[in-house]
Amino acid sequence: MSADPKNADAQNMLAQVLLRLREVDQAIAHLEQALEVRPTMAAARIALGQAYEIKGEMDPAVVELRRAVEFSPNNAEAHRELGRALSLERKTGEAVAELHLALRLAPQRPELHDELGSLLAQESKFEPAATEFRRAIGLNPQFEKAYLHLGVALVASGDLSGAAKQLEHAVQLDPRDATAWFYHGSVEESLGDREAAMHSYQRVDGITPSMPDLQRRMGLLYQRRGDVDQAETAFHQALQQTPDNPEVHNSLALTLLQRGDGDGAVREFQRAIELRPDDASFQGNLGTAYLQKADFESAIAQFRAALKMTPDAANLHYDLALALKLKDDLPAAIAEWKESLRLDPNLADAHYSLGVTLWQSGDFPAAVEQLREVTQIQPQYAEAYYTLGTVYKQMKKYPESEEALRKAIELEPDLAGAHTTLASVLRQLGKDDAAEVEAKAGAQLSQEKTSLQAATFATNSGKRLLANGDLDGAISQFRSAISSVPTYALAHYQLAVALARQGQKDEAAREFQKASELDSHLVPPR
Amino acid sequence: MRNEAALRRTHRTASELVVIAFLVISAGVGQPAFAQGMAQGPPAPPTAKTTKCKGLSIPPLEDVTDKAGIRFAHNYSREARSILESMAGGVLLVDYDRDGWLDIYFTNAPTVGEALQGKKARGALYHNNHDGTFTDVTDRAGIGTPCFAMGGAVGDYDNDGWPDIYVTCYGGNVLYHNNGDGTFTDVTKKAAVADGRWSTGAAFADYDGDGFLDLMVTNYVDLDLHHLPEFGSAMTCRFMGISVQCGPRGLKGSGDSLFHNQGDGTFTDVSKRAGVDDPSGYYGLGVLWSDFNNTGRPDIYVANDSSAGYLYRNDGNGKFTDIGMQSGTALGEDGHEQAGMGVSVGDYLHSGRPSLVVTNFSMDNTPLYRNDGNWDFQEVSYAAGMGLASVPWVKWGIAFVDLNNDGWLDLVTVNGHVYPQADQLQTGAKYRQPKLVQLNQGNGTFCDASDQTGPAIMEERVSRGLAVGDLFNDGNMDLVVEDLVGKPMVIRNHGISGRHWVNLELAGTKSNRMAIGARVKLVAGGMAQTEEIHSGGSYLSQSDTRVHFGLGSATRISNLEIRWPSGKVETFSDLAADKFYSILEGEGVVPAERIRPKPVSRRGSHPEISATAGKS
Repeated sequence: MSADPKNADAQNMLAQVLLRLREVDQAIAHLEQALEVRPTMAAARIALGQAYEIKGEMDPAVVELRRAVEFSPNNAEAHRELGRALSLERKTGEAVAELHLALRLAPQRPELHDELGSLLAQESKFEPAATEFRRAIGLNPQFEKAYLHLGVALVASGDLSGAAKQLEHAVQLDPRDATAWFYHGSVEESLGDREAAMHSYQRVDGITPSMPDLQRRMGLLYQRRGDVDQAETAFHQALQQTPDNPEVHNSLALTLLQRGDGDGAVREFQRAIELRPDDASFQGNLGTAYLQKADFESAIAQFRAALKMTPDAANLHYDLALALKLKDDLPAAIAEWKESLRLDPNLADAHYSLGVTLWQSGDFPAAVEQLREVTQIQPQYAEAYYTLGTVYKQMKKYPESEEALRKAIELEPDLAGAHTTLASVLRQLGKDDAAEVEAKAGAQLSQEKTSLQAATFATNSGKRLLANGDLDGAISQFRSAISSVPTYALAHYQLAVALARQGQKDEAAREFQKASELDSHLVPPR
Repeated sequence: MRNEAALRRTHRTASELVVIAFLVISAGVGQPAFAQGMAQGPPAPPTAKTTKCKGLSIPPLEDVTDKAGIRFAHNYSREARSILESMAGGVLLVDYDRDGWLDIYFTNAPTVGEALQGKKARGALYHNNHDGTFTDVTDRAGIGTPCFAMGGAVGDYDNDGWPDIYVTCYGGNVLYHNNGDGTFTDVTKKAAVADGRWSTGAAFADYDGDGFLDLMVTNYVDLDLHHLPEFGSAMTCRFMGISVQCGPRGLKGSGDSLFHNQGDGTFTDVSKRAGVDDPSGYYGLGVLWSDFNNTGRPDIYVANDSSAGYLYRNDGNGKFTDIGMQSGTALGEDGHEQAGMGVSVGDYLHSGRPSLVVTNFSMDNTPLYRNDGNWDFQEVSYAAGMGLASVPWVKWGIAFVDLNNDGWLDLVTVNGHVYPQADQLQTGAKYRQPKLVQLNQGNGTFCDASDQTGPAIMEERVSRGLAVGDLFNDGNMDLVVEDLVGKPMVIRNHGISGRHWVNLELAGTKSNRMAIGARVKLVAGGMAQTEEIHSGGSYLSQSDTRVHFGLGSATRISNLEIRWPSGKVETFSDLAADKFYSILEGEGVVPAERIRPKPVSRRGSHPEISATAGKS
């Protein structure tokens, strides 16, 4: 390609073509030729600055762009390009000034507002940044990137709900913007909507599966959902991207623990510790993995190692106590629980475990003290009241026992053992009629529990027979389940399905009605 | 260890030298002196000894078979020309009518000749009349002739409160559903648990914690009834120079089966997926489940005849890993394969960990694998003083059981040769053999009380299955022995006066109904004891699933902790001794009727059953 060397415009046009073809050196040569002919040619200066930027030569780029501005102070594009170059040089303040100048010259250009907003956000000036993004959107309501940037700015400002709305706009305008989906997901996660967050992350996964931190976040959500297989896959993918990320090794280890793979969990926790040896939580987690493997010696050693780093971690003392208890070292376990409570007197589980252990050791008054403490910290802890009532009964403190057991029943009416124990206490107090009531209640509840086992099996059998087309067999099983537990909603529902298939519509309708009365989620099929 | 082993081989006792001399004379040069394909075990170490019990209270054990009205006799072949005719004889204790009293089911098998004619042999279900006698209710129950039966296990697979019976057989096992009215229904086909090979051991447990009992079944030899190997026809059909039945060495073995309970009346064969299918085809016999390492998940031990035993560690994801070798439970102390037959577990040391015993052939000791924790076992039979006494006998059913209620688990072994032809030998080996009772001395060792318990134990029989349980609800653990040849033996334990005990019957609500796999820890009189509830075990037999503890002089239980298979842990304190307690998961100690289902009434119910149902 060639152009008249004395024709500045032709040289400039040729250079623009060469730039687009990424023939940067040739472009520079033609631009310099153009500027030799016409030194004040702003377009050529700007292009030359851009060419040096492409080559990574920022100093000459800035020089040329400054000259462009000098020669054409009313050229908004010159100010804009200079601002861009300065921001790449991390001279954000100057860059902001240039963008302001550009905007003064061309206030109706939405992209200038967006770029100014981005520069302000880099300086952590999120509110003025948000203002600029809003101006950009006001000028161009279809400006997807501006919505994304506004959403990010609002996140930084702490306005999560506002951010969610803007990011929603962004992904609607450009469903292929992985970044927008990513931020959308992270906002939903922060707002507690894990399912929505998962949906957003899955959209990112479909576009750019290698987005940094995506797989780790997805893994954490799968883990919380109990979807162990998916969590494990996600963490492995995260490790492929960042093999030395201790957080991911730790998260993967926790997932393996969930799955019951103690050996795998130990390996991953060990790797996390190798990468970050001073993280006491990793050490503690490794101890938990050893506990799951019933390797109590190693668990104890690990908890102790973690405690050397953070001696005041109440939860670690609690975990160590559990391991010692499992090794039947009750005095040591008691000592550790006491230490955990010294550090955190509000650790209800520690009070409870200590209380039960003291009871097992025969120290009833001390057990009562601990169990009463649990009920102060967690007044809804029914099991604690039940145990407290049982200990009082053993101490022959029947009025106190009655009070505690009644509280347990008030909190959890289905606690069959509490009813039975209360019946026994009431008899001691001479309250025979009341005892009879409680004994019947306990009997009824335990009858229901044992019957439910048989009813569950019968219903499962019925479903299988139904799937195989044996209607009579299925109906028999469902009726058997119902006779065991008349309030077993699922059995009524399945019976209704079977009856409907058999053509017994009236009875089927009654059974569907019964099922939905017992469980409103059981809606008859259409 | 290796140096010790070498040392032991160079030292022999005088009696062993005599035995070996006889072997050389009668066997002839070049003839191998092993039977059932088994090499004889290494000689006992020079320090091994058997101590007779002194200073220990020894309970009288009385044969009450006739008094009890037991008329059953196991079918048998006088010559036992096939291995098929030597391996049967499992016995099951089961409270089938849930009246609180143990009933007995004896299995039976035809001879080969009878089987070829299509004949069956009648087993027998005996109902406990609560007065020391039993009544044969087999026909009404419909459980008399399931198959060519070997043994079985008990488990409530459908959680309806009525224990069901699984019978292992040659050529197709049978699962009997307990109908709750004194009858049983064969539901094998529906449940898909027939297997179809030569099954021997069986045991139920909930390996995946879903609340339903799964089923492990071992298989022995792959034999075609119409093409059996000929008596005396090969090297593996000779024993000390005489012709005997062939096998198991030289015959093809069979793999094992694990059936997962789907919770809907059917099972799925997950053997291969779980890694317990035994592709090598070892000769599987005794099997049991136990949580060896306190993980909350039951593991499996399989005793294999003439081959290494399997200890399958439950990895918690539906898969198992065989760690028999690594754990030290696969072989004898010197690394030799043993004829693994019966199996039992028990915390005989009060360590909180179940240790393991496995019976085997004569001229070999019963290994006692002491559980040292962390999957590490040490074979300590000689050091524990029970190994040497076991050497002369061909040993089958075995059980850890506290016979004298001192709080320490004792050992009972029942014996009987494989070959009727053994009586021809000059070596002193006999077809009929006495039993072995070894009492725990509370210090890691046992003493021999066999000849101090009365004549029942010393009576020579051809015994196979052994089940233990409190048949007479008097706090003493009794023994039921099924013999291969003829009558069984019901042995009443008259106990020790002044010794206390407790008996616990557990019922799950979230856990499987029979609470199989529950671990119970009891503290009384300064002693901490641990027990588990098992299905199967011993030799193809089923013991009482109630948990019995001897308490010695303690009259109160200071603490009782139950870890249910569901994972729930419940604690109880200050219980009186000398009682039967019913414990319902989530509720605690309850009246017995609370854990028993209501009898199902049907037309023509047995009058005796109706009269006794519901009484404790």
